[in-house]
Amino acid sequence: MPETTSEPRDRDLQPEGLSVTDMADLEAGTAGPQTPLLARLEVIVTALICLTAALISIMMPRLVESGGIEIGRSYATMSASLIPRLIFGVLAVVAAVATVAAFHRFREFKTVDPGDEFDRYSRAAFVALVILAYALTVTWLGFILSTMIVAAVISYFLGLRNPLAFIPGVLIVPILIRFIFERLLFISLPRSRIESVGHVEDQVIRFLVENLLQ
Amino acid sequence: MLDAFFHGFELLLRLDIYFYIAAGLIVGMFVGAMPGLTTILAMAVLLPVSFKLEPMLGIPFLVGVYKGGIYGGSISAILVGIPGTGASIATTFDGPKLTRQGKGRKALEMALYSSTIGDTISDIVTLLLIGPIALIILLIGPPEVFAIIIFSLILIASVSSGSGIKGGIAALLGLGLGLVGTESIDGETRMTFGLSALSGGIPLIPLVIGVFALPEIFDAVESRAKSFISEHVDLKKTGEPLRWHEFRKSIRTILRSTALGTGIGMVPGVGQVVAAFVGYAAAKRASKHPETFGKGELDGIAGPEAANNAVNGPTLVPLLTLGIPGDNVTAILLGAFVAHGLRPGPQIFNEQGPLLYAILLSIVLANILFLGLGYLLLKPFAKAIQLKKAYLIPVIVALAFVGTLSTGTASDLGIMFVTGVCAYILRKLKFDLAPLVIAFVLAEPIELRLSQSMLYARGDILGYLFIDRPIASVFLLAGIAWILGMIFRRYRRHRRQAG
Repeated sequence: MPETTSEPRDRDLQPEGLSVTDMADLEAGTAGPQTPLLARLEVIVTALICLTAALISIMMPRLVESGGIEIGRSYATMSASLIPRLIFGVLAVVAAVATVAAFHRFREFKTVDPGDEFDRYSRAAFVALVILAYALTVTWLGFILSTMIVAAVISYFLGLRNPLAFIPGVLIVPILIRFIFERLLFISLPRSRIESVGHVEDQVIRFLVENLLQ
Repeated sequence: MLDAFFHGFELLLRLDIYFYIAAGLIVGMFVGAMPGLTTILAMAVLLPVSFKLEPMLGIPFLVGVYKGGIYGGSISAILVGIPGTGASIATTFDGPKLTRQGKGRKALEMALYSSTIGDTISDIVTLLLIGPIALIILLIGPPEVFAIIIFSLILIASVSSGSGIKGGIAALLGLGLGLVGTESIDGETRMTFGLSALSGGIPLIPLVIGVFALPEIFDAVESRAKSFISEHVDLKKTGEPLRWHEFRKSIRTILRSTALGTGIGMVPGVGQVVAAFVGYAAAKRASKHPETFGKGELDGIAGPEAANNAVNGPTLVPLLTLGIPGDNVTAILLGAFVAHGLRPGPQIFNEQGPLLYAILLSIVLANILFLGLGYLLLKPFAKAIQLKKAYLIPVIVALAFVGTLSTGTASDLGIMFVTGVCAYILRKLKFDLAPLVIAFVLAEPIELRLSQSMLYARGDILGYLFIDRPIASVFLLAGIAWILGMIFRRYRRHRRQAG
């Protein structure tokens, strides 16, 4: 019979008798991860942080590029590599301690019902990929078109099926966001490099400016 | 200083300030009411908007988001027992029970009034204390500031995270990231790995959006549920409004919690969650009927709500006088101050006194707007918690992109994405990322103060800090003692578990 783990429900927590640090723990949940997959990931991540920090600390003098201000250097009391080297050195040590603690935690885990863990993380990974694609294409497709595509994909993914329900979120919101941020807050957003699309964008924004701002 | 205070009043005679505060409050309440989303997300995404406004509009706007968000969090905590923010966890002990008894409206109004009173009193205390504190801090030099920053970072890293080690890792990562790019003293560039985008350092906006907004988006889409809450809220069953005689019974609780929250707010890193629990526990202890707590007691709403809101004002004391943000909210506010050319520290009161007092006064006045808007918009926000994710998540993603693109550099999208994915993984592993962002903004001041201290020390920096500068040595020794205490406590707990 596999064991199941469950996170403490907030409403079950009783405040009396808790120290200040215990109460801060409540916000962060428990200190360790809740499933074997995350426990394994914790070992990998802390070890990775430890190794990277140690490497940066050792290589630090090589990571400082030549240049800078000549006169500034004559006043400087320490080299540009000193503080980062110290910080990454301490980080490597602290991360090494965390790796050992994480490894012990991982060993303590028994067979646990994975539940819907894979499903949950694959959903998050899918949205992460959509956001990555959005980041890569937004300057090429332009803000309005790329946002419309991303909004449609995410809305569909999150269960929206009614075609009429897509209209406000997918068609109107991207145009409104561009209009508000560009014309009222002066934050310029990418125009499409595809000329025909860019032309339509310009027409829509001009229409809104003429009807709403003038 | 009094001149600056009265001059600050004159700067407030503009209607647009109140418009932006109101906008911030509405956005904050809306986001805060959503159980899956936090005020920090709203502040991170809207930080660039504040950059585009003048400081007298942009900073109160962000403060409005913050204030509104805390109250918004208590709406879902009371109606459905799901805290919208960490600060409203203690409100879930009595809130849902009152709703089930048909007293939801009373609980919501009690939360609103106690939040407003707690916030207003603590803001006034802040306003009165901040100037004299800044004058005292003017007397201390770079070694003391360096020592206080280090002590605060140790405190923040150990208290804000569930594990001191993880808090330490987050803080050290933040310091390391904050030192990427051109060094402030002699202009040498470091740790750019040949990427020209990093030569100016890692920009704050994509980092903040990546750390605070993207993980929340990923968290929200993990579940297949279409809405943030599964329960249907029937607003018709929330009952009668709060009566004066009911409110009067809680006045003592509100004032006690306000005093507790104000004190807790001055300590960096402790924050609203702890204040809310302390406020709840104190209300229960002082009550003649402690057995009613947890079963639907209005004092159980007044205590935590007054305490968590009373933290807001005092967190500005270390921020504005020393440039030390006590939590992730003030770290974002520090970013806003710096972007507007206001470098927090004791000199800011000499250089920008009227503007600073005007901002502080606007924060006090925001409470009046908060009271009115909170009352009027109670029902719409209570309804909004049932909004479908499919409508909200795409808008948040788009706003995160707008915020990042506002820097004018498309490569910042890459920084946002990478920090977002890393932050999501770290959050899953129970790392609290507030110390990371706080350390990130403090990295440059730490290096600068240490460099100045070394110039004074003429070589023997340890002897200078620990012997010649008593105030600095007290803070540094307190930091060391705190770390040793943590190790000892951990060791003792380990021994107890093994035995």
